[in-house]
Amino acid sequence: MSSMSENPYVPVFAKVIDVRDENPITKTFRLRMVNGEALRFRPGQFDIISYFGVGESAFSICSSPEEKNVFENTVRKVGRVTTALFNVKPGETLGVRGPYGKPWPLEKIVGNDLILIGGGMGLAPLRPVIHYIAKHRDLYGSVDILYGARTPSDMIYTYEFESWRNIPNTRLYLTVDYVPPGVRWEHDVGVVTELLKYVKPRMRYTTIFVCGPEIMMKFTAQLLLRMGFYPSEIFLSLERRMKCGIGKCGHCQIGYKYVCKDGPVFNLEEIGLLPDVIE
Amino acid sequence: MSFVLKREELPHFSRHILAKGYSLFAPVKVNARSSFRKIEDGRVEDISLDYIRTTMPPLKTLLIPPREVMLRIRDGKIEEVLPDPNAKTVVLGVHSCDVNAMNLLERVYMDRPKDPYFEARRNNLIVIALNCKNADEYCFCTSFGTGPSLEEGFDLLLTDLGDRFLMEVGSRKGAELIEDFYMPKASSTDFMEKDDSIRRVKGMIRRHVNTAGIQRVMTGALYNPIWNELAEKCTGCGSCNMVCPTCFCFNVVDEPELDSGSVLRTRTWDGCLLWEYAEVALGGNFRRDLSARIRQFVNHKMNYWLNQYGSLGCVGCGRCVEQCPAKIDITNIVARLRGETL
Repeated sequence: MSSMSENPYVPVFAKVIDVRDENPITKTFRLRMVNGEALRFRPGQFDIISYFGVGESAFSICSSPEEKNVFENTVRKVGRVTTALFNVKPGETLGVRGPYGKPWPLEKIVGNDLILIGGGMGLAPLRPVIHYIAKHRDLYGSVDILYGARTPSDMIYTYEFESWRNIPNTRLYLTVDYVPPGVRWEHDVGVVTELLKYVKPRMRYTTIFVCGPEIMMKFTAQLLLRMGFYPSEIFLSLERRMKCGIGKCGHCQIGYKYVCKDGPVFNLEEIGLLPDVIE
Repeated sequence: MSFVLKREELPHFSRHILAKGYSLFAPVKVNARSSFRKIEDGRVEDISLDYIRTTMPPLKTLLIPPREVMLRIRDGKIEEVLPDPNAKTVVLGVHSCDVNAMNLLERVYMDRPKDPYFEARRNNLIVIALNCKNADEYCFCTSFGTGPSLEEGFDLLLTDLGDRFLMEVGSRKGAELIEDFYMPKASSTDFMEKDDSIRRVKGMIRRHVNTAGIQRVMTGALYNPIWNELAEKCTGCGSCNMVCPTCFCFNVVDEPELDSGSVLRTRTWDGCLLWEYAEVALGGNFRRDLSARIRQFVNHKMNYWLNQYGSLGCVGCGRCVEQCPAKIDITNIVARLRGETL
């Protein structure tokens, strides 16, 4: 994204062109830059959205990287900024900075099989990967998508699940922790790692991308290591408090790594021994 | 080029700086302590260069103000609130630890993408450093090679020789500041007295951090019980962060300016000892335990800085040791982890 200003803290305006309800506390905002430029991003990168008067928050960019003039952010109502965003309607204007951070290493793993493991909102940074694979299907081997949420109504992007299943050589497995009475659920019940029983990975030809709550990533990483995967084959997308996105405000540090510029996607090998992560 | 400034001419020299249109910041006595203040109305007599340590680090406070408006947002327009490009500032009498700390802050803020607020202030700042004449029980700059004297990184450098100051020129900005202020040239005697003075101060510094292989020591101690033990004493007040001349973290908030209908996007100092520092949505906190926050502070200075910016993040100014209400002492922590104390 180029900007009139050299000042990296100055957002540009983006118009909300659509708002989709994902579930009662989650919405996806479709945005277009007012200056007509594209937010050229790669899957796994994030942006920082401004609701002027309330503040900024960092979000995974969750749309297809192939879409040039629009981009999407999925927002769960959990804090001050996200609560303000929740009332935003199509036609309103927000601020955006970015894209920031290191993406998933999609170029480096061409030819490999992929296992994508998402927990709750952690599906957001994996969605651009799925869209990218759908467009460039011959670049990768088999793809397994494992998605878990607390309850069926906590899931996001459910309206796309059928089209994901229709991507050649791609399977989608779903699980929830709990099915409320009266809710129809034809998939698994249990933690997301249990879905790994459906996958028969070709060892040394498989790469795993994981995003979800830190505790879920911890247990997933432990199980994957027990299954014989190398730390170098496991990639995690981490969440930390961020105030700048450019390695100045200090908040997102984990050991000597900055999540905003060295991540948010990390190889398990590079963060496995750092404190305050996956402990 | 080096010159001699007679002690009684210091007010005259300060007036020379003010007359050239600079804002002048210098240490003055405030309630028996020293603090860097803007010298207003030509009150150059208030300047007192006899000090060991100010509570607040002068250059951090000037370059990254504790509270700073970054953007003003109004009527669908975003206005950058950058420092006045003509606000040229001289800061007089900065000790070497603080000058070295500024050089560390530059590595953070001038790393790309540059922070335009820091950059504007830094470009307009002239630093007249002052080699130390005294040290106290908190000083440990010699452990990091950041004091008590400077070899580089200053525009002008003063050494107190009693009845006069030796003034060395370190940059073109420094040379230009004094080109129309007559001073006699320094002699080899002045330099011999300077060397004696620095040697004497070095002998006064008793506190020490052994930095040999310190990263291996610190990384090996990440799960040492010492962090839990320190958490029993620490109050989590963040004083160490605030007084540290290399602590650079900030928080950003949107403040409404009610009378103008604007939003002021404002940054304020933040610190890793504070509870909210690593808090995320839904009450998640990646350093909920005080022990993890103390470990972060100490390891950032004594370990991670080296990976991130090529040198350790401590300059041995002694402020965090002096100001800690729980008397937690970073030099003692390192010594204990090295097995150098009882």
